[in-house]
Amino acid sequence: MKKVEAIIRPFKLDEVKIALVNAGIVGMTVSEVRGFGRQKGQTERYRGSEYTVEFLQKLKIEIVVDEGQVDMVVDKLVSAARTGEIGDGKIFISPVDSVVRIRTGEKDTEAI
Amino acid sequence: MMPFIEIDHVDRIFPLPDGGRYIALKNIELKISQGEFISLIGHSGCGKSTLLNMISGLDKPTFGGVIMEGKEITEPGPERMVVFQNYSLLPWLTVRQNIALAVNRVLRDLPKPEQEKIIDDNIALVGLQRAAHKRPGELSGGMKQRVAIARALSTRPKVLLLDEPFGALDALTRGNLQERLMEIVQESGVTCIMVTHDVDEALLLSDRVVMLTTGPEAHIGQILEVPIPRPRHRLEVVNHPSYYALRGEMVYFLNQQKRAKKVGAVSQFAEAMGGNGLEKINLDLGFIPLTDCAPLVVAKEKGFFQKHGLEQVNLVKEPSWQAIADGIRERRLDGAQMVAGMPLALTLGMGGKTPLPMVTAMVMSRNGNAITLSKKFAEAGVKTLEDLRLKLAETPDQVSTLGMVHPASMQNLLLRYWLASGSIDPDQDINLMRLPPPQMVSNLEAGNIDGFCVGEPWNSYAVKQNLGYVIATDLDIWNGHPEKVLGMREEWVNKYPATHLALVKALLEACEYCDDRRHRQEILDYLALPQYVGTSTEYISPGFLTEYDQGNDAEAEMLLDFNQFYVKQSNYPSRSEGLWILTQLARWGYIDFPKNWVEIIERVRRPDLFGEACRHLGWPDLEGDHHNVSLFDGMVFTPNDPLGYIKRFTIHRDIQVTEILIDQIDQVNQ
Repeated sequence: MKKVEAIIRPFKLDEVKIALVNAGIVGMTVSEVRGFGRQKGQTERYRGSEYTVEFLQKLKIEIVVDEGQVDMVVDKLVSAARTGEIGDGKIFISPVDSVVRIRTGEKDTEAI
Repeated sequence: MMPFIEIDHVDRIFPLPDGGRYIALKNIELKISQGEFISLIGHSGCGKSTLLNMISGLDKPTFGGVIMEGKEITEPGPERMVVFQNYSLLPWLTVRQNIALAVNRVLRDLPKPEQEKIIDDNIALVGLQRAAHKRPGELSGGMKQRVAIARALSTRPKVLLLDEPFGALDALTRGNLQERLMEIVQESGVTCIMVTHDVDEALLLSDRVVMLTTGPEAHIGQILEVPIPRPRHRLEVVNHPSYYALRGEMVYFLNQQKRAKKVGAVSQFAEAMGGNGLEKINLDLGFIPLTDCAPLVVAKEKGFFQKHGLEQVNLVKEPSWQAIADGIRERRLDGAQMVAGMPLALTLGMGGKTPLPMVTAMVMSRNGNAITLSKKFAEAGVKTLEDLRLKLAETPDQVSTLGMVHPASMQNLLLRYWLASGSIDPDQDINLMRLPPPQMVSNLEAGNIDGFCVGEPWNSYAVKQNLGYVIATDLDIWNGHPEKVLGMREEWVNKYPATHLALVKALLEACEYCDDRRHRQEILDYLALPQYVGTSTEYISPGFLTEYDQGNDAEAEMLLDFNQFYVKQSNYPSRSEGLWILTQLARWGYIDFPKNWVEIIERVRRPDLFGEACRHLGWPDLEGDHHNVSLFDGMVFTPNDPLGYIKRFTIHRDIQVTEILIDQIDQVNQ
């Protein structure tokens, strides 16, 4: 199992959600986050070349899927979240050792 | 390290008055370090100045962005100064006032005397002290251009953008100014990006020359490094041993692009016909019964052809790849699923045939092959490539034979690459025999061959029949290599542009369908039908859906990348990958390496048609082209130096470089 974490533009949430649901994803966690990337998070400039680092509002989506679905999920995410402009976000993929559903105690794939 | 300036996947699209769009620049990717001197060359209208304008901030990219020191460029700024061809001086101000205008605005925080000093210094830098109080009308062209340069430098920019700065000057003035510019750049350490038409000028001034292809959808065709040491002098650079070779390469590039432009005029027509329905709805498409014919089967069975208006698509099962090539040549087939190198091979007329220009607008699958050896090698303990080499060396009088499907197939090229990287010469130490894929296993059983490299299900078939074992899959050689592509005659694509677009769209959707593992069981059942692969799902399933059994001690494991149809931008018809195929075909002496490889690759591999289909489907069409490729042995292929790459191999045949003019021959035919 893998965890796919995507940092996306807030206004892209609906598109991403629809794309993932259509791809057969049954659950996701969304949180509001702030951060910066290569852009140092801002485009303002004060007098010449003085810059500050600012945090920008983004959304983080977390999904846990079977290994076989990762590529497909990533492709759907990219298609849906992309505008082509700088600041579209990033996707991080990491392994998940185990999943437990609290209500039933089911484990791993059944618990997703 | 972060580059000083990064042009990050930039597209520039202009809307047309008739509602259409003109894609001027497509997917430009370039990293520039501080203090570097870059020249942009290319034919008029290819988008050089547009690119420069986007760096200056006067224009904005439609997609992607330009990043300087970690910040996106969104507007013009004093740290990026532009020198235009037409000087752009204010005629009512003197030289000094023109420069002062810039300095007083940008450096207004400095005390007055310092500003004055900067102005004087810059006038002195371009040697115009005596003319400081003249107006532009009283100056010669060269002097005016020097004022423009002084003005640009006076604000202490980090980047100097030069748009054909010496275009309007006479040769002598130009020469002097070039030398002055080099000195100034050397002193100030400013990064320069210059647009020029003059190849000698580009060579004299630049560290790297970036050559753009002819638009529409202009992109970086080739990047040349200029290794001439600095300081350079106009009269001395010509003596540098690489000067004429580099100059020749640039002129050659421009000539290739000129030819490409004439051909491009035809394909423009393609876009204009887009919305008017299809020209042809009955297609005969050739395929070979293999697991990776799945996209064609899905497109037919799941109605993707129908959805895009292709109502009568006939999938023609062919006995061999040669039959597919013949079918295309004889026009019996409208198009076919081909091994990745076949469109290039047909275009070049490989094997002494007449060149037949082909088009590949999409890759239909990646990976999916394996090298299977006869069980007798397993009994002799051959587990690795090195074992195989030792085993073959033991019996020099006995030559083993391996089967491959077509000279232009990835199976052949990867098998040869793999053997050669283990110091086995595929032409001398071993015998390669050409056989159609469905006949591999029976030949292995009959003892005609000792192994083969082929697509599934034939490796799994040999494993399940206990005839052989898989010593390597292509995941071990080049994970993600292009495998099957769509191949159409160029003449056909030009005649039926809307049909071609519909076909690509249908197949793209089919590819996406194939890569969803929830659909794999269903596809498996289709593939097993007699009109398609026609074997039991037991043989097709390994790798495609279930664990892949190599038939050795190793436990069968899930290879999720084994059949890629859509994910990881599988369908993008990358030019760099096409060029890699050309290098390997030349390496083994199948073809003369085309001197005009840029032209050949641009004609055959068509990301523009792919992009068009993606845009119609609402998919992102972006993928970096012009990237390096490296295989399992770690040797890096850079698309700027294909010949150097071939020569770095220890084992290769004699390389001939010839110009292959596909059009002239084409005209004779008609």
